[in-house]
Amino acid sequence: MAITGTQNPSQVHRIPQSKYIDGVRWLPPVSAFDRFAAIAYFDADSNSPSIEIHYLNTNPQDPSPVLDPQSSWTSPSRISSLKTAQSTPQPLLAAATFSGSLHVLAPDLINGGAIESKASIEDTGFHSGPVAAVDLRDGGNECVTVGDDGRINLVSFSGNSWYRRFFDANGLVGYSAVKWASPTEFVTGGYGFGLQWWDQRRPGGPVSQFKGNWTQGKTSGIVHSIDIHPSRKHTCLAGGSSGTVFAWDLRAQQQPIVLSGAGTGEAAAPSLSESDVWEVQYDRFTRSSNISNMSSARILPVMICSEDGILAVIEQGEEPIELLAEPCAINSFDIDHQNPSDVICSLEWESIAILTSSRSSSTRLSRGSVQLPRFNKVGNALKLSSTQAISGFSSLVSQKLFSSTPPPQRLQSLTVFAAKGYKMKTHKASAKRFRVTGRGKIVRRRAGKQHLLAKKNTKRKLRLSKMHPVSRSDYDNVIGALPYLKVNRKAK
Amino acid sequence: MPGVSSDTSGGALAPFSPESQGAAVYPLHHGLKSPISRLSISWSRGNSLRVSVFAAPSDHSVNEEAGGKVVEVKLGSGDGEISDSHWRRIAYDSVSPFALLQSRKNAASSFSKMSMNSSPYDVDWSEYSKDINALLGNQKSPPAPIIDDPKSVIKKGEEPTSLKAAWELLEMFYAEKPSQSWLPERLVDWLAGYDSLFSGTHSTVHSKLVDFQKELVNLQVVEDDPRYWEVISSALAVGWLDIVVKLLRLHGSYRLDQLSNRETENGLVEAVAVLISKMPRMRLEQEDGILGESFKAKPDFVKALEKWRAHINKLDSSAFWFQCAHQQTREGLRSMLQIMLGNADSLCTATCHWIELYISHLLYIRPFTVGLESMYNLAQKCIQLKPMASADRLMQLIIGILGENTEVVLAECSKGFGPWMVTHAIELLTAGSDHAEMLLHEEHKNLGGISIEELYRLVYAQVLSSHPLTWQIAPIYLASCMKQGMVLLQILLSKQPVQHNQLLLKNIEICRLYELDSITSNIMKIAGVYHWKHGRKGSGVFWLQQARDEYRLNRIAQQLFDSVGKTISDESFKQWEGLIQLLGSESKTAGGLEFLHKYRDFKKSLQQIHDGKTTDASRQAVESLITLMKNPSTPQRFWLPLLYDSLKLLNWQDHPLFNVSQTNLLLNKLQELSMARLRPGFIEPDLPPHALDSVRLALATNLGRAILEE
Repeated sequence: MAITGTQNPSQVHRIPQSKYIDGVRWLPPVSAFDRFAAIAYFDADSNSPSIEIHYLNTNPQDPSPVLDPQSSWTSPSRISSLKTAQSTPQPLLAAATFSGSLHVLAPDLINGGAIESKASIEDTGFHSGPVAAVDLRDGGNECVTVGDDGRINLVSFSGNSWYRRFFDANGLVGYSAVKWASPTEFVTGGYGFGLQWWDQRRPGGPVSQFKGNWTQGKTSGIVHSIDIHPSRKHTCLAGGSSGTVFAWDLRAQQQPIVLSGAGTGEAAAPSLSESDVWEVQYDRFTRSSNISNMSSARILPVMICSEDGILAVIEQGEEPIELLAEPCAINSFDIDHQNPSDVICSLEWESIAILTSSRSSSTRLSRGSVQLPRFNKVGNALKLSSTQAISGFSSLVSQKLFSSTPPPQRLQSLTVFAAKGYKMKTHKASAKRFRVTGRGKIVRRRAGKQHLLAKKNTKRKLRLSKMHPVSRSDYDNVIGALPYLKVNRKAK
Repeated sequence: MPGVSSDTSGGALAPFSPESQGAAVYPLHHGLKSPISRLSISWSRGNSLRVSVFAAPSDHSVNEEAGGKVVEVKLGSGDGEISDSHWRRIAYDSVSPFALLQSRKNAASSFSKMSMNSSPYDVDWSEYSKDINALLGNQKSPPAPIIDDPKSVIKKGEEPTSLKAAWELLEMFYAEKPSQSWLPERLVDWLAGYDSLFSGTHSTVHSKLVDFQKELVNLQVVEDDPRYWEVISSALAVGWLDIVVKLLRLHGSYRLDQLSNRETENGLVEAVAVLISKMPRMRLEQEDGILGESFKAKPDFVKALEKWRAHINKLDSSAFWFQCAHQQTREGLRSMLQIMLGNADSLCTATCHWIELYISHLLYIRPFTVGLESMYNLAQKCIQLKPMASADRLMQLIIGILGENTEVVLAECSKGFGPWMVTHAIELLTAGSDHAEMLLHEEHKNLGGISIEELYRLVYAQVLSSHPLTWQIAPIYLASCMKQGMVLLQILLSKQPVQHNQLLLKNIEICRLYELDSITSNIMKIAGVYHWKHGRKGSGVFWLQQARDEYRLNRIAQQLFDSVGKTISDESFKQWEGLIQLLGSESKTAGGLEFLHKYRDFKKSLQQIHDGKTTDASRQAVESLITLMKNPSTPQRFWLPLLYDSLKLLNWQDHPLFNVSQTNLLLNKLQELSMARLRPGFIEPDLPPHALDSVRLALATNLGRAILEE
């Protein structure tokens, strides 16, 4: 775990692979010091897909981590969706394939990572065509699969595995993403930015539906990924085509909170990217800047990855923070739940990027990212304009900018009394005679209550016993004597 | 394979003849027993062939033998030393430097057009070249062992590849123009890195050293072995001074027990070693681990060289040689001195390959060789002295470069190293050279009006696009081709498979980047039809909607209505909900499917009437019925079921819901319908036989009541 002790707040390690990466996930650790990742490969040369368990080897001397392959499992078809879940004794891995099968694997991380197939459903009636997405319930023995064919299947694999068709839209509707919201509820996403909320106890149709028509038909797209924060189950976060990231609050039925992209003109959120957002996840690492007055309606920080090679954190009403700008697409990423500062991403050009950063710092810019100037967005991908000019330039420049700029130090707004380094002394006699009220006024005692009190009436003595504000014209004198007095000259 | 016994050799496609050198035989394991009747060959992904083998249809086809088989044959293993995945890595990584260079070039050219002064955007070829060089693999030596083995002479680094060697050559000669006078030393370094590449076909100094290294462990007295001296002088000839010094220090006279009685001998060995490590060299900067004294300026170097040579001469003619008792040492050391003095014969005997001889000439005889012409002449001389049996691709490239013939260089690059090399090397060749630039940018009629540069780029882009993983970077190269690039790009994008959404979206994204809207909509249409055909109606409709393809939407609407007619009336209507929501309320994008949306509204209000909510619901139902009947997109066969469904509305108890004009419209439609029934091809709706009559009766009643009402 040399990662946490490193000096540099953020490090990006690109590890080239020799195969295409269909999916990548962290595996829930079995012990505190071992880090494992599950990677779904597709070897285009031999046309063979596989899932491999890799051990993340971080050498204290060598800053770049190494992925050590532990074990491999050959899949019958390419992996379309890969999910992991915590379970005892072994973590579980659900892999859905393009041929419409589902495989639940249990890698034995303690003894060399041998992969044991726990359940495998290759029934032709399971899904026709590819399974679009799968989600594994944390801890439970159940997962849900959806597909373009409009089927929603619940797979249970405690004891002997079986599946049950929860809903079949007969292809009239297709689903492309799914996420558990609670042990009985889940959310699906599909075409036209539609989201559906399902409840196992109420089969036959979605409990609640969200229509993605806030753009008035100008643009439309597909939801690629959904995330639900465990502490805010009423809000579904979804990312999809044309850089769209939005949140659907079940309590505000048809009004989405658009975080990025595809905005409706005047209320357009700052658009980070115009290409597909492949994955969204709540970023548990980036602390919100004003966490104290955060209402439950506010969306927590969200990490996204997109087709034009951007990994970024966006927050409602804030400028997005770019963590990574690659020349190729970032197809998926996963945030380590136990160690949320670490992110693993799969890049289009057959490589894996691992982002690590120190956990100690908890400021907003702690991942060491740089707020990039706007010119980065002009042509983020290797774009060709009509004058035949390739401008891969901007994204490359931004990459160079990333190298190691230290996070900007915020200057404290302290009043500097003496610039030269010697302090002013307090006039001790005055310090005993004046004090400052909570509002910043200077007060003093009144004179005439020492002796000859017999001739003064009670009201007068009472009046003289109270503190009295110092006249404004005397302020300069008092402050001159007491330079460290916290005076507010404008206090009324 | 079990079934193949007799015709394994018969499976070979090409007749094998030992004369034709390039012919390769690829055995086909098809496993078919019966004689093959037909063969079909087509290209598959990458450079593999797909061979479909059909067996002759046999009469007794009772056994479950396959009637044919499809076999993929991978043609050629490409470059032997670079694997496919490594090639892909090179292709990926070279995109960024290439794109960066192109944009710099464009910026520079546009700037120089605007103002004729020298532009601030100087195109930096050397940066590009270094980027490419770095991605070809960096020769990082493994961390040095803590205990240095005195007997290990050669360090084992990363295996050098000829691709990198070739790139470095090009870099040396084209990208680093100003360093001409350091060129000989650069060549020495180059050879030190890549001499092992020639060991496969010829004996080289490197291979000699490797062989000797193996024996070194077993040798007791090194200096008695003639090969020891041979290897030392060879290494000296090609300028690997550190190895020479290291070997010299293995000399027996350094041993403590012999130091006393071999003092003179040891002194001579040490003197030579010191001389070697003091050799003046013309280098840009002093590097660690390289022996010799570096000089940047020529006059200093000349002075130092003469001084050094004088030292050697002095040593050569000294009297100590007679006191040296060991004959091998004496002869070996003196031959080394001869090499250092630049004796052509001893250089010739010490080296193996012509390039080594060439390098030694550059080092010891003509260190001031400048200009490609003189270098070329020298190379020719060396080749005559040490003729090659077979020409290595690197050697061909060197001769081409020295001969200042751009066409030969290009041809050698493309022959020896493939399209990647040519495409990226062209950038270097044109660097600063007007002649080459003219040659490469000249438009040729016989190439269809494109330049050589564009031709090679197109070829490379074709190679890229043939692989499912690299096709995404082909657009960057295609886009840099002025003439044919865009057309080929359009073809490439339209040909991509649409089965998987992710790939499809990536494709569309590229279209968006290059503003190819027509291709986008074409792809979407193809995807829509694909999904529709595979029963994924929702996806199909979505993509067709995205493509704004009203024609196809109308067509598939007809098909959809068939199933609507059967199912929509009962509870399974709920299933349609999702699709209807997807369609949205915009009539423009939905095409014929707009009907569904209205029908849904109508059904909903009818349902409400059944549930008991009457007043508002009935009015709504009437409105939606009228809009449905007015709308031309409502198919005729739905008219009667619609009217039949709304019988309850027509026979409304309290007051007539339809006014006169509305009733007239419905009556007209009904009339039209009964006329249409007479025509052939009319589909009778699945309704009770008296439906038409009852509707007509109800309409008539309603008309009467409406007239009365008014």
